[in-house]
Amino acid sequence: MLKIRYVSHSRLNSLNTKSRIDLIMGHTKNNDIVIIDGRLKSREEAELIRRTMTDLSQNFEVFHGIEMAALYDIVPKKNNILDIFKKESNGITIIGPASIITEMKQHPDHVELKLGKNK
Amino acid sequence: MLTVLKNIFDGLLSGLFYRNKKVKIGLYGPPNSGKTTLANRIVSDLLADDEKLGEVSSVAHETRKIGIKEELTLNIKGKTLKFDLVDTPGIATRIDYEKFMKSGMSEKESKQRAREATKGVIESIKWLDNIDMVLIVLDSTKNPFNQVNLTIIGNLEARKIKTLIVANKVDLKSSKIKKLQQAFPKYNIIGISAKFSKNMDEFYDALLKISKKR
Repeated sequence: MLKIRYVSHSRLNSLNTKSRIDLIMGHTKNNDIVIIDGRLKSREEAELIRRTMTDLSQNFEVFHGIEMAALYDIVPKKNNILDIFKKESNGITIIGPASIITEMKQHPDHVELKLGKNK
Repeated sequence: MLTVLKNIFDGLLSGLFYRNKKVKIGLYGPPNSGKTTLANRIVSDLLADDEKLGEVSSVAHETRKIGIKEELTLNIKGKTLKFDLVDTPGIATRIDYEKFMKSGMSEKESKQRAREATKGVIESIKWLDNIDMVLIVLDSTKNPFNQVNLTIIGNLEARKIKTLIVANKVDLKSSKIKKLQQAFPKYNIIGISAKFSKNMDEFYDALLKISKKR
């Protein structure tokens, strides 16, 4: 059974970087998909990748990593998707285990998930 | 009045030193975008020899350690850029050793490659704090709306690191450089083929230009 976890904006805001990443990693390693009402800061995304790789190196036969995508509710100036970084509270973030999400395709206004069991 | 003069003098002085300062230029991007092919091309062009910074392969995560070539100098029309070139392993959020096995590697080799690849990604992220300027190398045949690309660019913006986006593999029919320009309109994007040395003059011009920006 696939479980989807919701993290509200207020819950996200109540957590520091370490707690945010602990929460996400806990859920994804439990094979749950996480939907966050908001976004991580770009440095937090880098930290999430670093933490994913650290965990993966210790258990790469079982844990294959994560897939993540973020969608934003602002219209970027001149269609520049990088302006999204200026308002980090807007949008949603989808993060899931690579063992369940075999492919994640991100587009400016939608995300395609291909689900399956990798192992 | 004295303060104004002092500020002008300081500005000129720092500008003079900045121009002569050697910078560290990092090659960043997802796996298999052609970072090492570009690094080898730059080294070959600027040193005029066959020295390589790293091996290239069609299998992802060929580069699993940071590669550095020091003391490179780019000279164009009297303007000079001295730099160390840092080739980084591709940044990814997932690594599956079984995919390496499908490309013909043994299980042992695949597991070793996966283990090394994870360390490579961690090293690439760490190095973001030691880099003065970044060349983001993207495969122009792939969808640029990718969270890894956005994370890299977001981190460079947060650290105020000068960035040039390189759309590699423009020799391929499926190359869609316009899609990259639409995705990142405020960035200078240079389309090249590092493999076939296409548009490298434009690339070096852009590199020099961005390096001189304050």
